[in-house]
Amino acid sequence: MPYAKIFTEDITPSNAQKVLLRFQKNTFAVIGFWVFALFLVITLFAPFIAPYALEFQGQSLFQPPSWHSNGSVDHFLGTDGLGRDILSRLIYGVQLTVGGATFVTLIAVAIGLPLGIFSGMSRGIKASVLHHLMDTALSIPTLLIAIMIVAYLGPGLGNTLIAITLAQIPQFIRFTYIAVSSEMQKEYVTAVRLDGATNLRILRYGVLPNISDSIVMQLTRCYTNAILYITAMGFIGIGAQAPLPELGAMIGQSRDLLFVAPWTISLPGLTIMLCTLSVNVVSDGVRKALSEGVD
Amino acid sequence: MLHYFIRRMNLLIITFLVINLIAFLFQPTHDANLSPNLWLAEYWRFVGANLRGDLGISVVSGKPVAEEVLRYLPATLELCIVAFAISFVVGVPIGTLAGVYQQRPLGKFINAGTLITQSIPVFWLPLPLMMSVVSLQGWFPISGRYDLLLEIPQHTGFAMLDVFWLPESQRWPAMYSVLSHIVLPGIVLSVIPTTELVRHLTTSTAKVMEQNYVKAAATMGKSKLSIVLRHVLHNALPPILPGLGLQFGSVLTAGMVLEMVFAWPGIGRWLINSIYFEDYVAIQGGMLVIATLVITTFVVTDLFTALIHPLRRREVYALR
Repeated sequence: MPYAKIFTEDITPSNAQKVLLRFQKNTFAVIGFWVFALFLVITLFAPFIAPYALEFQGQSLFQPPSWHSNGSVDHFLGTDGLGRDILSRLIYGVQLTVGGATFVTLIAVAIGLPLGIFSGMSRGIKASVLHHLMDTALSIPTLLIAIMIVAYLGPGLGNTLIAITLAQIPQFIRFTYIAVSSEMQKEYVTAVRLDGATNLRILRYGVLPNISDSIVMQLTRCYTNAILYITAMGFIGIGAQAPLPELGAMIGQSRDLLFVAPWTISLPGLTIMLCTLSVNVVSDGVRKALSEGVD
Repeated sequence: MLHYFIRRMNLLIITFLVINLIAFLFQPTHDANLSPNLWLAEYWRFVGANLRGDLGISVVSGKPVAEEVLRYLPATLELCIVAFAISFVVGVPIGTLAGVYQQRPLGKFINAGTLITQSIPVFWLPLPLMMSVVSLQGWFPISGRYDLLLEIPQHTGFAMLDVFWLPESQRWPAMYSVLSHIVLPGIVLSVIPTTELVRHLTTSTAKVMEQNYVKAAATMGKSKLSIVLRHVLHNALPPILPGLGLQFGSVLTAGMVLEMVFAWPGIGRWLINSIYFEDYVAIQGGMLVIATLVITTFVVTDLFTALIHPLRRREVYALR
């Protein structure tokens, strides 16, 4: 039997594959993805990557980065006031900050997402009570709640992480709730319900595929906020304490050195910015790839 | 409208009670073994005292907490108001442009810009800024609210208003000093609401641009500028106002963090010092005031939006 090719495409990509293809076409998003992947690798293997040990203190204080005329390649990004290698401290700092943010986000998602879906799918008095609780949670800014909790638990990196997690959960519930409940009010859900679909089936085939882009948005918002809050609290001195190389705390501790050794401040700040930027770019790309087929 | 009003007031009251409950439970002197009735009575007494403005006495300074909060809060609020004013002046034109030209290079450029400003840690931004030309050439001062030699009386707590209590000859130099001190922190803080405003306004404008009445206006031969000013902005701006009301909380918190950088004598520095001194009465009082302020602002913006934009009311009725 002769084989004739009647279709231009040999394979029909599945929905997930289409999203992946659209994502790969977006150059910026792919760059962002690799930068973020690099940060994750640093987070996992920081002690193996860092050129110096965490406790290392050299003889040369305030040595500028290597591209400066007074710099040397021994300390690629220079040293701080105690002779510590900035590059190593940045790498350990990424481990603390990004690792902490990942931890916070994972827990917030694991608790917030199911609760948000449950409250979004419930009706009547239960939904009304939940709705009011959600409004309450939304009206107080996350960082403020986190500062409140740290005020009671006491300063420290561990307490900061607990505080930010506790503060992020209601926000996550709230946004999932809004997305799910607005989807539940659409007519196709009613139609499927009339066909006798169970709640679980509506959720699996009706709601979840349609709210995926808003969940991605909320997820990255949670992640970037976690990074910014951990560093902000380290900066004002109620987060990670002195010897820990948390990025925000590094900036806070060398704030007085602004004119003496500007690199001790600009480099940690740029690292934070690069990290949040890569997450934001990836999320922007994923969201566009997800919504392209729908719009 | 009445229905809507009651609904929002309900939210305000419940939130206030919940905030009080949290503060009550975290009290260091709180006794968990009270019987339910006694516990409830204690709670109501606590809420009543807070409503009367009796927030207790600070352990460290020995002064009433309410008095201290009233002394430091206006400085922070002044900063936030300036930041919001800047964000409106800058954000509305940019957001509208990005919405109108969403698929063009200009819109994409602005979109990329918001991605960057969204990623900047706001407490870090002033440090490179201070280092750059601005402060080296002494254009703007980088710490404090006004020159240390000035003595501005505390009447309202807002330095911009307080200068009017000074005699005529000192008034304008003092005003100049206050304004030049607020420029840098104001601009830095305005990054947050501006980003948020531009992002919301872009989506909202793009949505309105697709409406039939905009196309109809175009067929009537109106210029693009007049369509945007007359039809698009009128419909794109009001729906995003409640979102900005919510932003007030984030701006206030970011302002509190920024105070550490700019040596701004506001509520943030006071609160963080209270945390260092473990002055729980002060922490609790300050948090209560800030949280109440934030939720009140949100409800007021929301009601205001409902007043000027009837569609907002319909959204709430349609919900269940």
